[in-house]
Amino acid sequence: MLRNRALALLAAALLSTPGTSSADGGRIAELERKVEAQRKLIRDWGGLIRYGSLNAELPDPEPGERRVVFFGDDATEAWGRADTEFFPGRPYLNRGIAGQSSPQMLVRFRQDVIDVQPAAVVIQGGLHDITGLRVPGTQGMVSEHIRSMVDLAEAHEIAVVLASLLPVCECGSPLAPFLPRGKIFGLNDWLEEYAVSRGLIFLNYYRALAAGRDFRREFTQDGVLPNAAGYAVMAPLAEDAIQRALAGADRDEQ
Amino acid sequence: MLGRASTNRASSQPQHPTMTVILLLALSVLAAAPLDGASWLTDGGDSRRTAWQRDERLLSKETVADMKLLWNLQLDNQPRQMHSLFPVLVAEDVSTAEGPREIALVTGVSDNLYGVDADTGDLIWKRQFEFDEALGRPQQHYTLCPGGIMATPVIGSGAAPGQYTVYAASWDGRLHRLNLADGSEVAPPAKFMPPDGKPYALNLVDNVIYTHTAQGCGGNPNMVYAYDLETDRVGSWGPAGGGMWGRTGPAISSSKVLYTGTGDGPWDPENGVFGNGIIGVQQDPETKSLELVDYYGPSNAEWLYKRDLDMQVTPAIFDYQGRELMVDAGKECVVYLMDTASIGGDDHRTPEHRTPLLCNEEVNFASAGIWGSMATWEDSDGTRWVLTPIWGPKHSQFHAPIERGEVTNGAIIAFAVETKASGSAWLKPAWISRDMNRAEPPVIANGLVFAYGNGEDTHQAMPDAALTNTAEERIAGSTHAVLYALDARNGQELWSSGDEITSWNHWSGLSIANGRVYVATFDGTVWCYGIER
Repeated sequence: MLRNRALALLAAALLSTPGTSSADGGRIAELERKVEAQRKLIRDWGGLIRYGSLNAELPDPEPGERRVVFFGDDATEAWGRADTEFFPGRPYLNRGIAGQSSPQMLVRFRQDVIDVQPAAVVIQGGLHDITGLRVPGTQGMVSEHIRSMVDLAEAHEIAVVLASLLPVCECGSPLAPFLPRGKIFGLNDWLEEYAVSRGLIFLNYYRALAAGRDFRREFTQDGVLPNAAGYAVMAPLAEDAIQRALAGADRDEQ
Repeated sequence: MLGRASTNRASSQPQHPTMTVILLLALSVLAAAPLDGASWLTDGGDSRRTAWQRDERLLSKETVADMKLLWNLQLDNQPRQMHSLFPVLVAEDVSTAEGPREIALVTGVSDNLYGVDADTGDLIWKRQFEFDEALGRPQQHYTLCPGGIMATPVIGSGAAPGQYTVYAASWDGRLHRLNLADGSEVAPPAKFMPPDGKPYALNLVDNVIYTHTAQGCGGNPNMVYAYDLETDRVGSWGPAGGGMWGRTGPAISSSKVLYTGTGDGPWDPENGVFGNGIIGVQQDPETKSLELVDYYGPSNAEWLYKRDLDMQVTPAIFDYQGRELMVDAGKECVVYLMDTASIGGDDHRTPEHRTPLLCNEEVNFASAGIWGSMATWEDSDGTRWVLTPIWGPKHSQFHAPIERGEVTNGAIIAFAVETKASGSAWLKPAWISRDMNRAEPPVIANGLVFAYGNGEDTHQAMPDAALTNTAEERIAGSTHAVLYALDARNGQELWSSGDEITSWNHWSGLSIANGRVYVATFDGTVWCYGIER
């Protein structure tokens, strides 16, 4: 704390130094903004605040209710916003947080998945790892976190659907130049192989939404996130994958 | 032996001898006629903890601009950890050997009580309790368990006009009864609770003294205690997990049910554990024991417990359209409106109304949320108001029709109680005050809200330094308190003490009576602001 105060005093001294240029002031303001953003990230790196209180409000599933958690990052969180629909009438929970990497997802897996007692979980993540924009990340690192999530789910008898990353295109998002199509393709290959090796359901959004290695323009709002038409394509695919995963779980029980 | 104390009076007092004589004559005439009629005999103003001074006649929107420092008094109380002086209590027309006096009672954490002349700021008497080690020896102390007297006393009216008895729970857990006029004991001390605990502000209703404890200080369980003054019997009840640390102590309803928030424990009522919610406890008139009669746990109580978002706020209870309602809150920064007929509904999970998050977007367990106590008053148009202090920035999604600037450190938020078409009451946001550095519970009088930023360093954990919850760190990081007067209907700032108060405080509060507002600070100073009479 004292160190923080010393830094604050130093910053105040710099700001109050006669002759400090407006350029310096702008640079300091930008640095302060970045420090504040980092401070917030440190305080809640796993994103536990986002759904923690909502989860606590949830009653236990009704007898016969098969709750499903959609667990992921940007594309998951945006599902149900604006003009898109998120499985109306179905006991499905959206637990997406935009911008999260796979280790952050792993940290909140117990709170946002296990503790809400789903019958199945749809896991989609890893995009922010392999872009390297927020954290250094490789397919190898993503795979470790995905495998840990699968282990946790199976230990709690939660059926797993592993979803592919979505395609991207340079269709408006400033992120587009940083989104490595080759790495996305490679991670999706690994996800499918791993799902097969573990007897899990692989949910291939990519194939349905891509033209070559590009997001089909009619299915995306900005080259990264689906639009309503894109989610409309994804919804029946997800529903089918969930039902197959649940059926598999039922067979395992018999 | 009064101990060391020095009074500074406002510099505008006349120094000329003739003027002094005239002033004294005028004061004596005023003193002979009790034109003021207000007292502040308990923390929070009354047993329902409304923080509303109904009898104020001197301070008003018309006079508040003339408010100034009337006197300050340096007391010899030694701070313990971050605690120093507790909220001041005030009794008017106390019969003393020197004639009727308005006396301010000041409590210092080092087991000290001070009787102060409210007109002059002169020390009249001092009493320091002796720890009876036959009852036990104090344990190791730290920030949350500083040792010493921990509860603001309560003053009871005596049999004759001008007689007042001070009831105080000393460090060793005994109940003391003192004559407010001179600090003398009017009855032998009696065992009230185990020694070295942490009780909160005493409440007095129908000859029963109520309090509750928290933090397990002294190795004691956290309990509600009720001392029956007629029979000298003590009843107790515990939540079986967590403690009760509403700053202003318990609030007592018209049915004599004690309500308070709980914190630091799980909420599992099916198994008799009430560690993070609101409980209602009542004395059995025959046995004098305490029994749980009602409780409310927010539907996200599990989250609150997990993130240390205690319900550690003293409720405020009030009448509204033929019903008795109550408001309470916690660190999460949500305010709950309840009917005392059934505070949580049939499932004990459903209050009458629950606000959205007002602050604490970051889920900070130490430096944000609602701390202390609530406040409520009714204006001349019949509108019922509810006020809450907040610490930290206002929530980005919460708005009120009137907002008095960006809030980053704390503020007062006011709601109007309204009735929906369904007949249920709700809290309609009305105004958000200016920024205050750790806004503390307000007090209300005559259309004015008095509030203050306490200037305390409230951080308990920092990413680069882990836990920093030591008194030394936080004392060094604390600044100074600022007192504000606001228009109670719209939150407009009408007056402030600026930089005049040179110290800060922790776990204290405001008091108001007869044109004077009192605040006490860590350095042992009592500050009396008001208008010249």
